Amino acid sequence: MLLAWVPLLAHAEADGGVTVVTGTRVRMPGGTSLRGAEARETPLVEHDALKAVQTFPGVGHAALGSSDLVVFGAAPRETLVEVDGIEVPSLFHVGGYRSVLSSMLVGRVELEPATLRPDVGRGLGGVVRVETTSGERGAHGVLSSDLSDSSAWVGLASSDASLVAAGRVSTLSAAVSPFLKGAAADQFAIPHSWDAQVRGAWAPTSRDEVSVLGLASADALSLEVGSDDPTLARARNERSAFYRLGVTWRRGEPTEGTTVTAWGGLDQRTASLLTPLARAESRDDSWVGGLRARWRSLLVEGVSATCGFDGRFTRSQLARSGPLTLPPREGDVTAFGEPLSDDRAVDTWRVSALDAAVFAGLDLSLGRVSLAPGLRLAAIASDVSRRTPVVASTPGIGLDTLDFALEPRLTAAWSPLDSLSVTAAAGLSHQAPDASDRSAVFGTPELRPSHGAHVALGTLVQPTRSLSAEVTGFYRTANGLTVRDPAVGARLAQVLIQQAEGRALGVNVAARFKLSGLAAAVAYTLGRSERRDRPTQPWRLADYDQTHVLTTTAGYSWKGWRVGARLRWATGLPRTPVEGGTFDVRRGVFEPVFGPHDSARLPDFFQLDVEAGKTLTWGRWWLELFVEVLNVTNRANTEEWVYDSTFGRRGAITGLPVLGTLGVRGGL
Amino acid sequence: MRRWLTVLLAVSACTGPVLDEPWRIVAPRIIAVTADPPEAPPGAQVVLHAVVATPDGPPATAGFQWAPCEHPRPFSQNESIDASCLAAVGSAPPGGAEHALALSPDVCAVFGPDMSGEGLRPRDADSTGGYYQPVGVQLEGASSFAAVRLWCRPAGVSLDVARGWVDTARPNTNPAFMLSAAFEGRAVPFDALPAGVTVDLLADWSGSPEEHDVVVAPGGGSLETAIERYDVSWFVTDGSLSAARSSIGAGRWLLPQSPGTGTLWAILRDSRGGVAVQTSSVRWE
Repeated sequence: MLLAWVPLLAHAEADGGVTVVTGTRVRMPGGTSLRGAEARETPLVEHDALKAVQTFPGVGHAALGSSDLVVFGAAPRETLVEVDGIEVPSLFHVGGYRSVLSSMLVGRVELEPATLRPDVGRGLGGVVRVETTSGERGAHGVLSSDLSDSSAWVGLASSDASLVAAGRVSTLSAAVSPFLKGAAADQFAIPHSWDAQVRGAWAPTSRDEVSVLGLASADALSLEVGSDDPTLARARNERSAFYRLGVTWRRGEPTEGTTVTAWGGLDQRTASLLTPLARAESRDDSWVGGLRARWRSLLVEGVSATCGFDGRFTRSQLARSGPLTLPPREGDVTAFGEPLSDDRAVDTWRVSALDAAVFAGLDLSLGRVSLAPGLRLAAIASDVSRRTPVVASTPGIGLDTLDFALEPRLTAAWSPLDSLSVTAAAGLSHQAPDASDRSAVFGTPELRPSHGAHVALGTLVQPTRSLSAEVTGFYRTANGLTVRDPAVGARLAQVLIQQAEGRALGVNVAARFKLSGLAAAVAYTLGRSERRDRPTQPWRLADYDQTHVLTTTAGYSWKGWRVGARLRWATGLPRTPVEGGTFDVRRGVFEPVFGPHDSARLPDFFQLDVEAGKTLTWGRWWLELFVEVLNVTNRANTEEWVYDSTFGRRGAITGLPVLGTLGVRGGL
Repeated sequence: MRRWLTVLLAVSACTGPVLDEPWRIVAPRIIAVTADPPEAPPGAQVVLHAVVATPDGPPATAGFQWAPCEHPRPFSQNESIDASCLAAVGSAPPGGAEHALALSPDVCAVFGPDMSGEGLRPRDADSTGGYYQPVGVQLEGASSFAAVRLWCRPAGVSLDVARGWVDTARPNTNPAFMLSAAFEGRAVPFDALPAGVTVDLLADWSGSPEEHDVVVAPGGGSLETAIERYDVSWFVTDGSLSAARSSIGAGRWLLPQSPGTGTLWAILRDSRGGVAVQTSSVRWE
C-alpha cells in the first residue's frame, strides 16, 4: 500500500491511528485525523472527542479559561472550523472546557495546517474539519452527567435512514462557583453553556445520500461584584451564540461524484463591561450562509479531477460604545487588570460581505509519485454602511469594495518505500476583514483582504503496523494584516491599518504507537511566530508564539482495566513587561509603564494528569469506576501576571492545583 | 452510558494575591493636582497645584518637574499619556508645586473634537463629554500626570444642538466638602481618635452647588443632561483602610493599636475634572 495516496480507498487508516488518506486526497503534511472513537479514547479528554484536537501536533497550549485554538503559529481567528462543511465560529465553548458538538456525533475530526486544498479557503490559518455520524444501526441512547455538564444523545438508524439528536448543558458553574471565594470569586467567572444538535440522513438510492444538520450553541459569562458604593461595583457580561442549519447532498462520493452543501445561520455576540471609571458595550448580529458544490470524476486511470464553487455570504449589524482599545487585539500592549480608558466612542454600522470562489484541481497518480495541483479564484465583495463617522444629520455615504484573489495550491507526495512517504504542500490563501473592524469610528471601513502563503514538507515513516512517526517543517507568511495605527494622529475613519506582516516557522514531530492494549502518542512542535506592525519595524514575537509545545498521551487497557496519562509542556506566552506605574491624578488610578513589546514570557506550563478505571460487564450492561487526577505534581502554573493597583508589585494567577475526580459510569 | 456520580476531591482558589494598599503613603507622592479654573477654553491660562503626601514631615515645595504634553496619545494606546510626554517629564527643569499653563489656541484641535486641517480623526470625549490636555509632573522620580479639562465647543453637530449647548452648558467649578470622623455613631475629633478601632470617615459634599453636565449625546443628534458625580479617595500614613475610594463619601479606617500620630488626606473629584483636597493631622490614643 502506498502511504501517500491511494485512489478509490475511502478513509483508509494506518493501524497506528494515523490517517494516510481521506477519500482520494493526498495527505497534507503535518495534518492529523482521528476517527471519533479514537478521539474519545484519547486519555484525559473526558470523552469529549473534539478536545483531542488540543493534543494534535502543531496546536499551541491554550491559556486557562481560553477557547482559543492556535494552529501552527496562526492567530485563533485565522483558523477555520467546519462541521460537515458548515462553518462555525468556534470549536469550543467559552472557557475551552467543552467543545460545541456532542462527542457521540463526531465521526471524524481532522486538522490541516493551512487551507491548501482548492475547495477550502477564506482563512490564513489552519482548518479543523469535523464529520458527523449517525452511529450504529438500531436505537441507541446515551445519558451522561458529570462535574462539567449533563448531556443526552439519542439515535435511530436503519440501512437507509437515520435520525440523531443530542444536547448538552453545562453544570460547571454550579459545581465550582461555591469553591471560589474571596479574590478568586471577584476575578473568575465560570461560563454557562449549552449546545444542541440534530442530524437526519436518508439514502434514497445506493449512490445518493441527503443529510440535514442543525447546530446550536450558546455561552453566557457573567461576573458582577455588587456594592452599595458604586465606586466598588463592577460588572462584566458576555453572551455568544450561533445557530446553523445545513443540507448536504452526496452522489457517488467520496471516490467520484458530487457533493453539495448549503447552509445558513445566525451568529450573535453581546458584551458589556461596567467599571467605576469606564463602560463599554458591543453587539454583533450576523446572518451567515454558504454554498459549497464539488464535482469529482475519475478521468482516466490515475487521474481524477475536481471542480466546484465555494461561497459564503454574511450580513452583519453591529453596535459598539466605549474606548477604541476594547476588546484587545493582537499587537496591543496591555497588562492584565489595567484601568480602561474612559474615552467613549459610539457607532452602529452594517456590513454585507460575499467571499465566493470557483476552484479546480487534479489528482495525478504517477506510480510512487502523486501530485495534486489546484487553483482557486475568489471574489471578495463587501458593502459597508458608512465610509465616515456620523456628522450631525448629514446622510451616510456607504462603501463598496471588490477584490479578487487567484490562489494556486499544490500538494505532492513521493513514496520510495511502502513504509516511507514524503509529502509537500504549498499554496496561497486570503482572509476577508472582520466586520467588527469596519466601523468608521472604531476601525476602518476600507479594509481589504489579507493574504498569506504556506509551505510544508513532511516525512511519514511507518516501520511497523503499530508505529508511525512524522516530521514536518512549515513556514507561513501573511501580509496586509489589520493592526491599530500606532501613529499619534490617525486619519479619519482609519484607526486600523493593514501594514502588519506575520511569519511563522517551525518543525513538528509526531509519533503514534498502538499495540494490543497499549497506545501512546507524542506531539512536539518547535516554532516561532513573529509579527511586525509596519514593514519598517523590526520583527517581534507574536502574541501567540510558543517556542516549545509538547503533548504526550499514553493509555493501557487490559481485561477491563485501563490507565492513562497525559503530559503537557509549553513555553509561556509572550508578555510585555510592566516597568512601573504612573499616577493619573484626574482619575485617581495608576497606569502601567511598559517595557519593550512582548519582550518577556510567562513561565513555562507543565502539567501531568493521570487516570485509571475498571469496567465491569454483565451481559449488555456495563459499569465503569474511574479516577482522574489533574496536575499530579501540584505545579502552580502561571496563567497570567497580575499587578497591584500601583503596578509596583507583580503576582501570578495560577492554574488549578492538584484536582481529583472519582466517578462511576454505566450503561447498556 | 450513564455517568451518575462524580465526587470532587479537592479544589482551591487559583490566584496568587498581590498586596494592594494604594492608600498607604510610604514615600512622598503626588496624590492630586488642582486646576484653577478646572475647565478652560483655548488660549486661557490655568494654574495647577500639586498636592503632595509624605509619610512624615512637611510636603516638598520644590523639585517638581512639569511638562505639558504636546501630543495626545495614539489611538492604539489605552494609557492616557503619550510615551514622549512621559519622557519629557523626566528632563523638565525642576520648579515649584505650582505651575501656570497657557492653553494653546488650537488645543481643541489637538486634544479635542475639532478636525485638524490634516484630516486627522478627532479625539473621543470621555463619558461626561470632556476633553483633556495631559500635563506630566514628577517629584523625586515618581511620575504623575494631571489633565486640564478643555472647554471646547461641540463639533460635528447640528446648528440646533450647537445653539442649545451654548445656551445651557457651563464650565465646571471645583467642588468643596467637609471631612469628619465617627466612632460607634458619635463624631470624634481627628486629634483624639481611639486607638485600635475602626472609625468611620465621612466626606460631605452636600454643601457644594449641584452642577449638571450638558453634553452632546452619542451620535451628535441631541444634548443630554446629567447630575455631576463625585468620589473621594483616602490616603493615610498608618493603619488600614477598607477601600481606597468611595462615591458615597464613606470610608472605614482601622487605626493602629499603639498610640501615635499620622495624616489623613481626602481627595474629592467630580466627574468633570474638579478637585478639592482636605488634609487632617490625626492622633489616636
